Amino acid sequence: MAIQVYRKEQNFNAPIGVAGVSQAPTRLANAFSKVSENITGMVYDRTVEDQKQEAREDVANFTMRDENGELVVKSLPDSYSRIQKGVAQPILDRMYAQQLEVDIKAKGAELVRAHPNDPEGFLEAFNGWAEGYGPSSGQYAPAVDIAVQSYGLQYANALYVDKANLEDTLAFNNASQLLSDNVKDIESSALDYSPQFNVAWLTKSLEQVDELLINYPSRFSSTNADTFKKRIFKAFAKVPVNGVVNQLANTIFSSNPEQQSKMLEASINKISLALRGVNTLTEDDYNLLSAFGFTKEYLANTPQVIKSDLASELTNISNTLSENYNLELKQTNAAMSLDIINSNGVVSTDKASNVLETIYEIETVEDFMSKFFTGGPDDSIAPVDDVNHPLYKMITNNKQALPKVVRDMFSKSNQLEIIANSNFDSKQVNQFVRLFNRITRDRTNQFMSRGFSDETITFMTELEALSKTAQATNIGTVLSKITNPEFDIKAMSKFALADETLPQYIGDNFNIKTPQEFNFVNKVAPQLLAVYGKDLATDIIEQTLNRRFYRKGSKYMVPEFAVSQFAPESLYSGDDLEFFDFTIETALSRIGTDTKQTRFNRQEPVMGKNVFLMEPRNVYGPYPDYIVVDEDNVPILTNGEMLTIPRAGMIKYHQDLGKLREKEMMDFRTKADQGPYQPDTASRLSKQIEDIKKANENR
Amino acid sequence: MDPSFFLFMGAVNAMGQMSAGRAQADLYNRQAQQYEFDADMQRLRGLQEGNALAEKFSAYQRTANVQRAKLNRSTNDRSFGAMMKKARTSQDEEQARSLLQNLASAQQSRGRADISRMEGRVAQQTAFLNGINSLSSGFYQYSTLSPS
Repeated sequence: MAIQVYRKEQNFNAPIGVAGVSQAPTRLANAFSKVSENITGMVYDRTVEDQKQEAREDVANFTMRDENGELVVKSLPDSYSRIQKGVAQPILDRMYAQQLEVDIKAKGAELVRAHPNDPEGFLEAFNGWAEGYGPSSGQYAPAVDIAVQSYGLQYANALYVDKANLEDTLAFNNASQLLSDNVKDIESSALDYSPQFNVAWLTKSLEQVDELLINYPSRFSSTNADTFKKRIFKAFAKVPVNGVVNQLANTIFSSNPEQQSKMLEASINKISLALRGVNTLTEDDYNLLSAFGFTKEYLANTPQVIKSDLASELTNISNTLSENYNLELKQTNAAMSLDIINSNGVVSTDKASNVLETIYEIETVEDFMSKFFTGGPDDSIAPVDDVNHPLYKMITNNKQALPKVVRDMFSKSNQLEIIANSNFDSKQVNQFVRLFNRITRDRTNQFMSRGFSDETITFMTELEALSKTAQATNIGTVLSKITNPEFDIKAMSKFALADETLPQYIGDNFNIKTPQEFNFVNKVAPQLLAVYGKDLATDIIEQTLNRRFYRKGSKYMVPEFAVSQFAPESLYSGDDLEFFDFTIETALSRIGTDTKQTRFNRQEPVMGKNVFLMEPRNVYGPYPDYIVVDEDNVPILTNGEMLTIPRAGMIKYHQDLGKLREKEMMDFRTKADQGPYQPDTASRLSKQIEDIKKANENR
Repeated sequence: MDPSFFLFMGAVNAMGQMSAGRAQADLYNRQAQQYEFDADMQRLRGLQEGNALAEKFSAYQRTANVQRAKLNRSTNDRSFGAMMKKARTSQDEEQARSLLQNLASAQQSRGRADISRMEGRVAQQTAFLNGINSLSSGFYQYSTLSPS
């Protein structure tokens, strides 16, 4: 057997390979670097911004001038970083540049004022100043030099121009003043108005205007020239008109001022119309007017624009004449009214107001009180205590509505103010209460409303009640409740009524006949109960009711409204009622036969029997318009319209009465001016004959 | 913020960069050592392969001599001599190829080791430069914010 030979496997050592290199350290380093850079960058940016902001704020608060106001050039602090300097330095430069400019401009302006019209002197002074100022400005010295040169030249140029302008202006002013003076002479009619003279002046003035236009084109434009020429033409055109108006004012005369005023107005209006192109002048007029240069040629040759201007001026003159006349008329009327008052006559409310305003210059309540309670320099005793004083007579003799200032004197607000100012003096209260009672009572002791409001009447009644009670000593406490906004009226009135309701209280204590009475009491009762308590409030309300409403029962009003605040009996005094009755008769006579047949069963309508006055509504002013109604409260119609008794009739009655008295007064004055009466038989006979003839003709 | 903060941050950043650079260079050095070790192993493999080829040829010679003796042929037998010559030539070629291949691989590994060492040095220098950059940046920031 052969021996098996060992065959080994071929197996050799080989390279084992290489592990790759990690980049982790590099990545870590990069990441660390990135983070570090970011953080540092952010902090750096923030720090830079902070430093910039700090620098800006510091520079803004930089003191650039010393205590004398002198500019001090400073550098930025050494503690500033480059960043801060980079921000602050440009700002600081600008600020210094501005301040330097201010200094230079201010000095320049100062020196300009010191060297008016002297540019050479200015430049010398300005450069002299800059020589001292420039070096002190440190690093800004070159900028100062440039600015001084620039502004110096500007100021000097302006001074040169001013100097030239001044001379030119003086020459122009002299020339235009000369022309203006000439025109003013014409406008004021200081010159003779002969036509030849006018033409020469007109030509000369127009030539002066043309010269101004040529010599001073920059100061006197063609528009100025046109305006000036128009003014000249108008001035010359005005000469005849002025002459005519002056002549009219001097020649037209009438003993009656109204007549004189109207005649003058009419004449001026005639001239004005002629200027406007509506010619109503006659040949005779022209003959008279030609003496003043106001001829047909004048009207034809004068431009319409100028004539219209003159006409407007004439209208103004005419209006002024009217105003003057109205003022005069007002004064005359006031004097007449005062005479009537002095002779115990009655004047209307308007005329009484006119007397107060024109004679006594009373326009406010304060004016009236001052005059009435203290008097003027001519009054020995105050009008309130002088029964013969016109003011006293005016408010007591009259039973119509009072002038507004007198009514306002008794108003609640005014009375509260007076009482408060007098420290709640009961004498003061009594004085006003007495005066109020005196002027609101007629001879029969009937209350007359005199135009007072509900509030005033109620309040004056409250004051009267207060002055009569023991509470008068404590008047201040009571009145302070009225004025105190925190005073609880509702709660206090309930307290005063205890268990009663307000309607029960009204029903139990007052003899109420009409809804108007109930509404009135319902309105005023809560406050009165709260302030005065039940007993005193009841007295006050009862008295106010008696004053406010005619509780005796009006014969005129519809029966269910017989107790009315508008009953004619409480609005008109005895004499006035007679006229009121006459007005009613006249109105009733207008009722036609058919109406009488259908509405009155063929009976005559008689006031208070089968016709009545309806309770008026929406009353404006002290006197109402009444509507006439039948027993069923249905209005009576005449010619399709409701039959009324208008207040205008009563107002006119008062006016007529006033006029009549004025006429009587005028006649009396005329006769008094004529001197003692001298009988003239011939003239009396001829007058009687003329009267008889006229009477026959009228028949 | 105190401007010296930026100097501090710049220094810290630079130190971090340099430290990372050193670590990176260290890693490259280790890689170079591995490449050198691989080169040694390749050389060893060449020797082993050479030895194996020599031993293989020696075994062949011994077997062939046995066969020749068995066939009673002289050592001067021409055909036997031609066979042996061809075998020796072939063995020489094989051995030369193996040697060349292994030596070339070993040399390549040594080259790679050199490259790794160079990369390590470059990484360290880069980190150093980055550190310088951080330092200078911090100094710039410090200088712009400090009183001048």
